[in-house]
Amino acid sequence: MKKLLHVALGVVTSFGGFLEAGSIATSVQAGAEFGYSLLWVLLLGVVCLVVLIEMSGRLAAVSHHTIAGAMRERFGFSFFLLPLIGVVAVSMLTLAAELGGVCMALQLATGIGFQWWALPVMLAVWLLLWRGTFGVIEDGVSLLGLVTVAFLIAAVRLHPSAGEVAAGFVPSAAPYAPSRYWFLAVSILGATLTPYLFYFYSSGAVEDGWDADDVPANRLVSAFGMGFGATLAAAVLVVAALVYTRGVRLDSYDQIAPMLTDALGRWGYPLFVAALGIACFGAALEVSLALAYMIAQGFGWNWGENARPRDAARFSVSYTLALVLATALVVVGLDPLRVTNVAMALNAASLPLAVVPFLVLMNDREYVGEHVNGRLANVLVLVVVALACVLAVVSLPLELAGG
Amino acid sequence: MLHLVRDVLDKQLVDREGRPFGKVDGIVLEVRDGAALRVIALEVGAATRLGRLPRWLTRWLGRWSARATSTRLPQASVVAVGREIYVAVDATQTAAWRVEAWLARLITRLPGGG
Repeated sequence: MKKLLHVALGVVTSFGGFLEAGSIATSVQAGAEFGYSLLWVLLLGVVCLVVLIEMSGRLAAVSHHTIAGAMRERFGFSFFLLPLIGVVAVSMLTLAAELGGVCMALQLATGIGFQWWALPVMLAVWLLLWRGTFGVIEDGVSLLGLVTVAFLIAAVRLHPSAGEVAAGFVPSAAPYAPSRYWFLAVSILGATLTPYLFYFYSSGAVEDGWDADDVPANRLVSAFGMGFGATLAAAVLVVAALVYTRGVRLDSYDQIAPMLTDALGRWGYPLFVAALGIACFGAALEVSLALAYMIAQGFGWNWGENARPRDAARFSVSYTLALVLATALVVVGLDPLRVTNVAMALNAASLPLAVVPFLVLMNDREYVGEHVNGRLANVLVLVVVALACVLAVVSLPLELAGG
Repeated sequence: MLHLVRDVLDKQLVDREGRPFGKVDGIVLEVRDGAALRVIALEVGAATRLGRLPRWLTRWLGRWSARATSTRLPQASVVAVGREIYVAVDATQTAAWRVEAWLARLITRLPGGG
């Protein structure tokens, strides 16, 4: 019974915590510009995410190692610096995107420019991390995140044609504007497979003391939590496909904000603002923690969200510095939506660094014993990661030059 | 049979109070004529880590890397080698704890840090 409750809570929090700046922005843009035709990329990303999250929990449960800790051990200090620097760099940009998302939600709610909100938002995130405990942060924010169900309700109320939606799940080439199509495809993959997610997940699992008995529960939580969560991203895409004139390019949050009003009337605008703000706030907490986890675990410092800051000083200072640096990017006025787009494409580009060494660990009996990966999981992850990286390297320069 | 690189290098160090205080950054071996190699100490610290990086990178880091230090943990202080490596040392008395101690002092002066 307790285990069942544990699984249920895990699924609900994964669901509530699924959307963030990247998945909202990329889904809206994809829907508005290309209708349902990028849904298949979202599906591909989510299947791969489920596999990676399950791997991350399995590594933690069986070996009691976090991904970063095990990578440092297995590959040595010099090699470890590559994934560390790569993932830290893109996660910093991702953190700026999430903080920017919260600030934009506050701008939409009050009319006061987003840059003015950067410091108060940073302080709020920092205080929760500094004073809160892991459970409060994770579960509390994810439960608030259930407001993102508004997207699902909106999608249903707009009565999309089931046949057309289903057709979107069939892989297809670009109907027009191929470079933009593939850039959005890679942004969706990057937003779905952000490396901080699985690094974060393994840290939480170690902090919660999972063991080999938790392997089946972990499988359920990752499959259902991420699977249900992805329906929210799909709902965002579907709503955007139905409410925007096909092909319109959304370059600011001001254009995105009214997306729910067609379906939800006067509740649409406030619900969008709340969903954006809470989703990005939750993600900002997670990314800050993930950054500090990676660094502390790689260098063998004391770490843990449940430890008092003075007992894990370098760890606490790490997330503090990460927040300060990312906030600086918001304060100088970089457009939050633009930062989000670039960050998501870079997340995709960083996947080989973040994932391939992780995959080696998951095939090493020294770490996971009999719980090594199956061949299907290995092939799927490698194919999606290679696809994401190649697309990112090709389409990001084109997008930056064109935009 | 212990495999030094696989089972010792880069593993988590835990001191006698159960405090994690770094990873095994280096292993000090003694070479003697006619005798087998012998482990005499483990090292933890930035100096050892920097020594493992490619030369062009450390040269680029320049003066900063010259100031780095390392702590030697004598082989006799190693209590157990498993998933972690336990050493009978008080980490807070070593150079490996200097930054942590300095930051912890800073934090206790902040409101709410203690």
